[in-house]
Amino acid sequence: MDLLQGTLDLLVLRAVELAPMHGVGIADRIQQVTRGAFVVKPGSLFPALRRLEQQGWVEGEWAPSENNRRARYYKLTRAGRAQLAEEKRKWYRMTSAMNWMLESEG
Amino acid sequence: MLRRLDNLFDYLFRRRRLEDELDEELRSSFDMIADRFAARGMSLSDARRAARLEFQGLEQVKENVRDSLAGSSLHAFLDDTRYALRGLRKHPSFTSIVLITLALGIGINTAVFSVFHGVLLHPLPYDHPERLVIVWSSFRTAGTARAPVSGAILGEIERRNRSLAGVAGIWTITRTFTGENPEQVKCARVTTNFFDVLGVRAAPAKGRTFSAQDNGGPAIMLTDGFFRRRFAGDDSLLGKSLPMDWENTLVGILPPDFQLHFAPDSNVPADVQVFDTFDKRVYQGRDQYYIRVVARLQRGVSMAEAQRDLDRVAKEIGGAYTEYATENLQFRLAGMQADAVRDVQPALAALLAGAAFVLSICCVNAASLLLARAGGRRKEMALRLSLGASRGRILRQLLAEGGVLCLLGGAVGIALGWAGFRGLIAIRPERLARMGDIGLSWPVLAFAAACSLAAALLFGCVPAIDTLRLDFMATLRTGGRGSPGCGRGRIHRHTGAALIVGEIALGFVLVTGAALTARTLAKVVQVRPGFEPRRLLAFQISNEMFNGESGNTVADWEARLAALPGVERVGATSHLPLDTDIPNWYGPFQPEGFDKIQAATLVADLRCVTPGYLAAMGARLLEGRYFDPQDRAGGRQVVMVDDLLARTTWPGQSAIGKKMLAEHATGNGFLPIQSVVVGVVEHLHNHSLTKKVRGQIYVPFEQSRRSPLTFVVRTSVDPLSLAPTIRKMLYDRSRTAAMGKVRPMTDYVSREISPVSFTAVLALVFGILALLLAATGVYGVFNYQISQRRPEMGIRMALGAHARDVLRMVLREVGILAAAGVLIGAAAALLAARWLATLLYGVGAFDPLSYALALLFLPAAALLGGWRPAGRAALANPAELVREE
Repeated sequence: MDLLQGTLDLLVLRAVELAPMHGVGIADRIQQVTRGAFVVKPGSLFPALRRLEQQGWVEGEWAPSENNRRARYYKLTRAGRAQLAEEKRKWYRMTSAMNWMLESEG
Repeated sequence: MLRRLDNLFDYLFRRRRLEDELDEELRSSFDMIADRFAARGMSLSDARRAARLEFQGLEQVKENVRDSLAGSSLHAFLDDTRYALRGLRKHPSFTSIVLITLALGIGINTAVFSVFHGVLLHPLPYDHPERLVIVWSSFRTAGTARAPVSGAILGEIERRNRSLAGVAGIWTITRTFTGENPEQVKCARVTTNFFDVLGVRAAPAKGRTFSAQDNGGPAIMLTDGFFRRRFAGDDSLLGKSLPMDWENTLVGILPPDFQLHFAPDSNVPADVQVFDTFDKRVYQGRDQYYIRVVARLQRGVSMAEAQRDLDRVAKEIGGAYTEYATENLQFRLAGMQADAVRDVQPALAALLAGAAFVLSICCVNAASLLLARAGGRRKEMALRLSLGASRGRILRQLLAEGGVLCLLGGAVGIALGWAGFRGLIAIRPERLARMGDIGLSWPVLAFAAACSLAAALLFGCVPAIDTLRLDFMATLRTGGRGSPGCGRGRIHRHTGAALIVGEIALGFVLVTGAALTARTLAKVVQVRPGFEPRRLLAFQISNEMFNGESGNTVADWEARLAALPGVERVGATSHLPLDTDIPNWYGPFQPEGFDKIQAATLVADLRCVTPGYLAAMGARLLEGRYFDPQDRAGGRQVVMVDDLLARTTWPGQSAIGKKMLAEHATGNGFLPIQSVVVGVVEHLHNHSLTKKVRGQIYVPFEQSRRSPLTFVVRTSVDPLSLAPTIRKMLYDRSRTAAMGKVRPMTDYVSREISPVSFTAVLALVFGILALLLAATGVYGVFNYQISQRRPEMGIRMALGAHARDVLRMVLREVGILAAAGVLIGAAAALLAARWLATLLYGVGAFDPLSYALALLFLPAAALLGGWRPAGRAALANPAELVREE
């Protein structure tokens, strides 16, 4: 399934909400949680990460990975947390609006 | 916002680090993915290949990341610029030709616009100068629409107007500073509100300007420059009396940048050094028209409203004074700045237009060169397009190239323009003195930048558009070269042809303009002004020193001058020809046998002269005799007239012995006195080298004394070499008299010529440049086209055409383009001619010789430019040419 425009940022922010994660981990997590619906390729994941970092919503930090490779872990900043809440609100508003439209009768 | 700036900063200056981090992160991610595949039991190499597939190209990912970051577009721009610079460096001859062409165009425009701006656009240095106006009067016997007013009229304008915030009057006289080095200076006599109307205050802590109580009092003001030079800027002199031939009290010093800006025919020179106030009775004078009026419009009043208001005032004055009613008094308003520059405005506008033409030609040339190069790079472009470069990206690169060229060309151009401007200042006519005060200012720089930008758009876009239309498949198939007859090649050739035609047409207009102004200059230089200006010294002395006591007369002084070694003849006059400092003296005259109505429009310039004057000037006697010492006060009243007056007043008759009422300066003011004509001289050009303004009447000085007198000394040696001797002679005679304006007569003549030569020099530069540019333009375009059409030439020659035929074919194409250009250019030149006519003298605007010159030179330049490419085509080996295909 193709990602809706603008949703990648939301997915990434949500993925790192609970614990810091490296790039491959984020892609894996999105794929697992969405039950394979969204597959994020490196070609779009890394530009998104850099963009979010520039905005100050995530912060990158080098740390050893689970199998002892040096990896860059991204963690949500305070600004990122606020942004995530905002994006979530927007998303729910949009989905409920879509639902009303699709489920309306006549 | 701050964060964004921070990021931009990071991006620009820590790019290395960011790139390294990205590299490492991507590599470790790649490894992780490969690890995962390996963990599923793949071999190491299979795992890596699978990871690579997953990644879809490391470089591609990096490129995506870079594009997503702030500052990336800036970076792409820098890349384009760097690429353009590299490309330009690789073709130094192409680059330098384009740069020189552009720099010339921009430089010439910068220089000419500096003059234009400094003289015409830069506001006068007064308070709200746009509200300052000059009021000219016209009346029946004025003989001009730009006449001064009488004191009574000035008073009436002030009283009756409803649109002016202030009305001031000015006229100039000469005064002498006595003491160690007696010095004669120009003095402006003004109404006490003069500086208030201009909005000028005294220099800080240097006294005050005039106030109403000063009217007719001894108060004087000095200019800063004169105060410093003569009195060493000694502030303790304020409030004191200075050694002068006039009772005075120094009340204030004007600010250093203060200057008067009046038209030359206002007779208010710019180098006035002293100001004093009019007599108390000035507003009662009814019959002397001498006051120049400057006024300030009330806030919010337009020029047209004020003009209507003054029309009403004129009518009211006519009702109150019968003499002004019969004179049909009218007023005309003119903006002060426009009025001051009206005589130079047409020439400067024409020069600016000429400069714009040169810039257009330069752009056309640069465009054709870039087009030729773009043509040569079509294969490269096509290859890049087919490899996936977007058209936008290629367009951006071409425009970056244009931008870089324009920036460099603009910078060199401004430098050139500045140098050119310094050169123009060196040859500037006195009338353009103001251009030196301003120099390179922001408006000039902005103008130069606008020129560069316009140039970039004009010539940068042509190759870009050409590239946009590029059909890259076809181009790749034909090896990057439009084959003969193929559509692409033809469009390309048409663009080049249109550029050449345009260039030749513009050049034609410039060359005719240059020829016309050069011929005008030649005619003006040859004009005989009615006297012989060489070896003639002129200087002014106010004749208070000639008190008439024995041995202290003008005749006695002249005799002493004549006795000096090196002196041939001596004379004196009240008004030296071509000297605009002294207000002209002219008035009505009534020949015997003419009634008042017949004589109503007769006006002549009047001059009082000593017996030796006309002979010393070298004015030819046509009939009768010069004045002699017997024509003295109390004797028979005699006059001489010029041939213009004699011919128009008594056509077909001799003027000798005719009688007329002519104005004389007497102890009771100016009065008409019956006099008899004793001689006719040739017309002396009093006001302009190129115009005979009106007839002249000469009266003997002893019968009509005026002050000051200008002496002329005909010498057999360098005239200026006599000045120190004469000065010493004068000092020995009188401690209070001073000489002023000691100048060779040739100065006055060259001052008249210099605006013409200024225009002619610039026009010639334009014309020569136009020819050079036309030649190089044709060369550039044809050189390129020939190289594109080598196969065609080869086939023609292989089929039996001789080298001569190929040469003829190419030259015929040049000829056709030149003919088309000349036709369009001639039409444009004929249209421009009427406009140019005001600048010409002695040649018609449709002067056949000037057109013939352009007709000869432009095709010659075009053929010269086409000759080498044609020769190259003709000398090539046909077998090789065909094989290339």
